Amino acid sequence: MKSPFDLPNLAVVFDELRKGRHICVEDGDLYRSLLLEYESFRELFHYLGFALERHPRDFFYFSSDLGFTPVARRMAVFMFILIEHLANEGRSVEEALTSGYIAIDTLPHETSKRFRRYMDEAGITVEKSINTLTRHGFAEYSGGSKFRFRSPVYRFIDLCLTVIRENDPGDEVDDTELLSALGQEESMDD
Amino acid sequence: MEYAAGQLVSLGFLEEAPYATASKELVPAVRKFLDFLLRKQQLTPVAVIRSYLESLEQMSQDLDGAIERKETGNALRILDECNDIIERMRSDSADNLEAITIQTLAIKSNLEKKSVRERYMIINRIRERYLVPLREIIDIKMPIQNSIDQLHRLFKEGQRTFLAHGLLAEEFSRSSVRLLRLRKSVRFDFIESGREVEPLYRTLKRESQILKGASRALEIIDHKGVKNLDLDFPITFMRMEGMLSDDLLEGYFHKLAGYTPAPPGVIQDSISDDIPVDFIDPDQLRQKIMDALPLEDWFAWLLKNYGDASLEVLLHAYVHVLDNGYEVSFKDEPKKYSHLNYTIKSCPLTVERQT
Repeated sequence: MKSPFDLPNLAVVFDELRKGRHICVEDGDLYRSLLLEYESFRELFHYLGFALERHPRDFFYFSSDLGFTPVARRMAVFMFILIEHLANEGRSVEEALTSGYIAIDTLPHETSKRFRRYMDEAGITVEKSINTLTRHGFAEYSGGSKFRFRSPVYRFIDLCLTVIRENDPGDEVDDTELLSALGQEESMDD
Repeated sequence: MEYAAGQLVSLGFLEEAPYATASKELVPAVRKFLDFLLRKQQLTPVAVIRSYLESLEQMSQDLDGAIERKETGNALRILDECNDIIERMRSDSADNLEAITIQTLAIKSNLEKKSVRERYMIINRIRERYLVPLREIIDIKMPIQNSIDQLHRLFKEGQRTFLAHGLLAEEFSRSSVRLLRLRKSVRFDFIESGREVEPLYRTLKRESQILKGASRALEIIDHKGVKNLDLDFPITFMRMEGMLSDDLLEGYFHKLAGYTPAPPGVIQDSISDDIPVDFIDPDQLRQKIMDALPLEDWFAWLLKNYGDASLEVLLHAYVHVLDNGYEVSFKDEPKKYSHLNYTIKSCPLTVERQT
């Protein structure tokens, strides 16, 4: 009988996850191990007191009941500023966050007085924030002047939608399908 | 500039303006054409389409009366008006589709760098003001369809009533076909417009929600401070505090790998001779019994052969002959036996043989 501890890359996977890293397809073997043996990993970690989560965008991380930790708060402040800036520039937030590199010197965090105030209050700098995001598997450096986000950045997009859901519950996405019923009628007519 | 203006005047596109000497204006035909082109780029409000439908409803009542009274002239006039409205509706609907397509393309390309919020507002306006109300108009479950159905029935009835007036009957038939074409084209335009608008609307709605969420969080920071921003965003970070570092642990294990344990101590065999054993081996006992059979007094024999054993061991051995298939019998007269500090009274047990 196969031992429940006999999981591929178990030690490395655990070590990365317990440090708060998010493992996605770009992590190669670690990702494949989790993808193939997800249930076994989940069960084993559950007995060890950890909650392994699999995001619909196919990445893995440890959840916790620690609440909104200072590290998470600092990363979130950095991301909220970036998202607001991208949207106001007329760019698609999701597209800008999930495709292409971002030059560090184009970031708005220290150029506007309002944004700088948020950064100071959170006690962060651009460099520190990107380092933290990188350590947690949300971002990846390219040389010293650019970085890009990895798929786990969707957690911050989800977070923005959660903020709206919790603070303005009436303002959620309207799921009414304008064409659905008509499509059926159309096929009936044909 | 003057040359170009002169050329346009000579070609009949411009004429002198009546209100000033050095001014030109478009000739009415060109202005009308350009108005038409401009209108094609603009959306016809649904209120206008609704007013068309209300007019058609009124006309169907008038037409009903004209058919009933067999008023050919009146019926023909009303039919003309109906046809005009039907065609205007069809044209406006097609123009709407074109205008919507152009506007959605502009939103998608976003050459003007409009913010997500602005683009969402534009697409939402198109959807809410033009498409959602239009859906009510073309939805077969909506009451407005009854009016159109009624008009269609009247066209058929008029065709039958005025059969003798060949041209008028044919005009009713044509109007009926026009109405059918209107229904189909409005429906087609609506579906096509929806296909342009819906995906963009959903994308921008989501983008707008993401932006709103980020802005709302920053607003909370403005009012309550960063430390009071409490969101559901669990991230685990387990630091190995109080434990050995990885390097130390690795060194420790290396040391363990080279560890040779000392040999275990030797067990001394001689000790066992001095240990008193208060036990009668059953195999040895059976062999002794077999050699001594028959036994007149079983307990007396035990005392003679195992006099050093404790009373408990002797009694344990005593039942041996009862449980192992020996032929035994008790004598009637009880007898007293002495062993260590005990006196035991029992009827002597005779053991004959093993069956």
